[in-house]
Amino acid sequence: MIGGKALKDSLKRLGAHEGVRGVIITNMEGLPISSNLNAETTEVISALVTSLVGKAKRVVDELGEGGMNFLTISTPKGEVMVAPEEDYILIVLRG
Amino acid sequence: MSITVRQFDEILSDVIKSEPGIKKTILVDRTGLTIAHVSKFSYYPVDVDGIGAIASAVFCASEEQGKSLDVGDLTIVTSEFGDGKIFAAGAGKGVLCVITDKEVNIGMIRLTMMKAAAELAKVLDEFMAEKPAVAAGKTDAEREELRAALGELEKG
Amino acid sequence: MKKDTQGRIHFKIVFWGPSLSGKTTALRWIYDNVEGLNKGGFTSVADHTGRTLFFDYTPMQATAQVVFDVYTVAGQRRHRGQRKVILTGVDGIIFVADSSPDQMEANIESMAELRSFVGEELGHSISLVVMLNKQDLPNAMVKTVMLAKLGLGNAPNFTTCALTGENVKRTFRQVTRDILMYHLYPKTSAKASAS
Ligand SMILES: Nc1nc2c(ncn2[C@@H]2O[C@H](COP(=O)(O)OP(=O)(O)OP(=O)(O)O)[C@@H](O)[C@H]2O)c(=O)[nH]1
Ligand SMILES: [Mg+2]
Repeated sequence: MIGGKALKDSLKRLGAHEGVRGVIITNMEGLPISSNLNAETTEVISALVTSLVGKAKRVVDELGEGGMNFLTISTPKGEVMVAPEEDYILIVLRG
Repeated sequence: MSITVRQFDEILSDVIKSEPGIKKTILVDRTGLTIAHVSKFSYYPVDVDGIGAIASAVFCASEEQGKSLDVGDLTIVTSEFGDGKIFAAGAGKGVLCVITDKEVNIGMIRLTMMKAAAELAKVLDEFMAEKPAVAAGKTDAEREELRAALGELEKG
Repeated sequence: MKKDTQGRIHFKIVFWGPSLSGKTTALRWIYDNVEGLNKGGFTSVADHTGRTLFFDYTPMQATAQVVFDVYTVAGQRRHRGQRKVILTGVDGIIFVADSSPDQMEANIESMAELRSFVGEELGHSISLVVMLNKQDLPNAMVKTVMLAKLGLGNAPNFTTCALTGENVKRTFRQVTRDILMYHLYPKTSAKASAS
């Protein structure tokens, strides 16, 4: 698991990067652990992205790709970057 | 089936389809009466009326508890078990209850439930207006049903 | 009174009364012994000694179109909040009083709480039938004394023994009858005064 202080620090570091609009860390149940966005947006993004990760993982399994490391969604606003870890998911909105 | 009744089933089915792991959805009113329910698998064997009565009572009791603690409105009650979860969300005059597997996207279920609950609250209002609970203004058919029940009870 | 999505009419009946007065025993007896009612499951939220923690519930169908949803409340003092929840939408109440003399205070307290929850409706739009239970006890209190102390002189009442089922069916029939009569003839049938 990721500790409180270490978590806050990495969030801060990531959030300070050029063009980063938001950083969210959510657990595998779609419940946010930490975020620098408002509560409502955080809840929605955590739920939807976790759902998407579940589906993407199943696709990757079916394709026999040997697992998923990273997911990027390119949008008119920029990018949604998703890093699924063992027991949490890191989400970065950029652009 | 009237339009409102079909709407209940549609909304409840949509909830089941929205996320993997949802086994059953039940809509119950705040007196404990089960109004509608939909299962993912037709052979899922549960005593729906009993489950509904508990879901309604538990939600309303939590609400009472919240009132005495002054913590604002209750949105969702979550019960986590070894092999599954039960969620209950307020839906206007009713309570929406969702029964799931253990491993589910809680965040997604919360969002789906809150959206569905808002829709159900509206349909429920229509449904209850359609079926007035007042003693006056009963239809002849209803009076006939009450009389038949009376006759049945006299027999026993 | 309520209608469900299949068009069936539902009435809610609640067994009320102090702890250990015999509410669960009475409902269980009806469930096990009364024929002619099409009964659903029996749901109980109780502790390991059998005392009700929240409620008992069983739906009983009189005809294809009329269902009685029957509940008992948890009588212990601390379950006041739960009792209030169960009372929502009630059509008829069976007040189960305990005839042991040392329980008379508890009976009075329970009746006062019921009145505070339902007020003026009791005995009018909400039917009330009194069950003076445990009349089999050697030191059971006399019916008239109990009714006077409870301020229930005018309510329909029965002396019962829930263990053997004595008069239990009659009590239940009375409340179902009163409910139906009230809904058929709302003006003339509100006779049982509870004040
Ligand atoms: N002698 C006698 N005992 C009775 C009678 N009815 C119930 N009892 C006993 O009284 C005890 C309590 O009965 P319950 O039915 O559990 O009481 P209750 O009113 O549901 O109590 P709570 O759930 O705590 O509110 C049990 O041991 C019963 O066997 C009766 O008519 N006579
Ligand atoms: Mg009991």
